[in-house]
Amino acid sequence: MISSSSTLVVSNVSTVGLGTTRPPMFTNVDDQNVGHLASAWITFTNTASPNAVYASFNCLGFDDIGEGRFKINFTNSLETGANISTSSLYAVSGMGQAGSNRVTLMVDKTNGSTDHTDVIHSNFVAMRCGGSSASAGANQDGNYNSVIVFANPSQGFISPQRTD
Amino acid sequence: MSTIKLSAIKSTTANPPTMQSQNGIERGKFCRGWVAFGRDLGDVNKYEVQSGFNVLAIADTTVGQFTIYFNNAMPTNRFAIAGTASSTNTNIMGVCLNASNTSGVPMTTTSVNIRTTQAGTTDADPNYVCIFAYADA
Repeated sequence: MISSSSTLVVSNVSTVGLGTTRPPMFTNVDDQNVGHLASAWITFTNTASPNAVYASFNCLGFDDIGEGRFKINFTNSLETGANISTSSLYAVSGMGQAGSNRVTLMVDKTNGSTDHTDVIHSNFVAMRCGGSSASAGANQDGNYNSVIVFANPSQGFISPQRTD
Repeated sequence: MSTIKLSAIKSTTANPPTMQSQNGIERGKFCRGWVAFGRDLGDVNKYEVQSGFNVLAIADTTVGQFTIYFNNAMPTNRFAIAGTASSTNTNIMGVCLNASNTSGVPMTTTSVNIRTTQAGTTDADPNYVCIFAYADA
């Protein structure tokens, strides 16, 4: 239904002709892309027994791979970039809580390699939670972790960009 | 490929419409709230919202600690948030969820507690903070 004020009233919007993995685009009157949907997000604890996912979108869950370290697995793969086979090079960010410690969530990259396939993968992202504790900078499990991911639906999909 | 031209999309439920690819898989989620706040230009001892969506207000509860209040409630108190903070000096600043113990829940459906930290060891007042939130449904 489209109302007289050009408001589309729906419970679901799906694409046609954009490929099987792409959501709709949001463009302004000048055909500039002016919005982007989150590709995945998750909230979970890795201090509980057993570990638990509180809520998520497009995430199967996570693997506990060590103290303060975890690998989040995506339900539907994030699209890969041009000339990249499995590393999507998407944007990922998060925030954690580990008791009253001051912690930071970061990509679990511990070497200087420019190949990020081991941590920024189309099927998963590996992250760690670290910060102040008994030993400064130590990885530590968080009782509340949240991670949000933005990925390009395809190369070229986001163009033309706004320039204003 | 088809294009529909609108000024708004309105959901038939309390939550945003689902956004699917052509094979019916949900491929993205709308942001349910975001805010950028910083020191008040007229009074640097206060903080003000610079821009935001679905954020009613922010409260400066003590040094380096803030509560963000949402206009419209989140569907659950288990939503995902992320963000960054910049310092008033050259120190490295982080931002994390704020609860005083491991059993505390740092959020409700209408608010979330955060803290900005300096060098990972102390709470410190920031210059500028950006937060965004994603929720179920």
